[in-house]
Amino acid sequence: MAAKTTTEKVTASIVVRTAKAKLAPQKKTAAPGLTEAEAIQRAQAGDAQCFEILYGLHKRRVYSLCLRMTGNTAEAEDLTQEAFLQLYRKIATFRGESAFSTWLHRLAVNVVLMHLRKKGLPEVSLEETMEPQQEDGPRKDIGSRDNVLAGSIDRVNLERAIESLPPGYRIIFVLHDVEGYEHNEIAEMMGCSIGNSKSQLHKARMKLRDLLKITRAEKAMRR
Amino acid sequence: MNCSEFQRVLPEIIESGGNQEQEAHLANCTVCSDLVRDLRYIAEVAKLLVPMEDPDPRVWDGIEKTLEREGLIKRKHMTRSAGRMTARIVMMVASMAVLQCLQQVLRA
Repeated sequence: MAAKTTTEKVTASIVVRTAKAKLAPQKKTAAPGLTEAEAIQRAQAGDAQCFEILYGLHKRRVYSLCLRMTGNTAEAEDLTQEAFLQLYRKIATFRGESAFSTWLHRLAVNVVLMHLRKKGLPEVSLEETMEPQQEDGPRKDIGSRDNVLAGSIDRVNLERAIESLPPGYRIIFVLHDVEGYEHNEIAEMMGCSIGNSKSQLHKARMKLRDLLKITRAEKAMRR
Repeated sequence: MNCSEFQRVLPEIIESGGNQEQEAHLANCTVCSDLVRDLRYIAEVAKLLVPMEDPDPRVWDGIEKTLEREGLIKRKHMTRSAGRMTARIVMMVASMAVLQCLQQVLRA
């Protein structure tokens, strides 16, 4: 139990604070006297305790990814579990060609995408968004300065707005704008074209803009 | 260039900037400049979202149980119960030995 507490503390201390830090490889301390690299090596050799340490270090990021991509707590928990089970089974194949967090993250993304493919959600949405929509026309809103969102979005509102995006939009937006994947990587993972990924992202941002404006208007009405 | 034409190529403009004509429209059209500003702002704020929530402890319990079931890790609760059983047997043997000693003392 004591080891778990230490892991929790270490996890809290290494929480990534900025987008840059999210992607930058880090030299992590897994537990006192044990670096993350050592924990990985031991976990590769079958050390279950070191695997638990790795779970402690990465559970938050993997769970957040699953939660943002699915917008559902129960599904996110199941997928986090599945991602770490796959990690345990595949950790011996990790060769250190990329950062461990990047490798694990990609594994988790694939677990979520596989799950969503089984549900059939993204494909439907991808096709839907290829159809010309009313949204594609020019914006008619009159651009008074009060209409500009800049400076008015807080984390909670944005998280909520992302959650209410249609699944196809949400996945691309989370992968590109939140997680920092490039369009070519997304296209490869999603099995779609780069153009489709770009188009989806644009529509996702447009939809978010509308959602955030509605939220702001509702707040103003309540005041 | 009008708003409709500008917004048709907006994804490309946001990603890699516009040409002279597009930039000129952007400078003169409040609707389109507000739109571009908002979309860029949304993308910037999204980059700053950090993982905030830990999964419920039952997620780890589930992982552990599955790995135990698959025989990939040792069954902790089995080990614990096996330990308890061993302790009980040792206690019983010790008690019987003490009883035998007492019986022998009483007979003597």
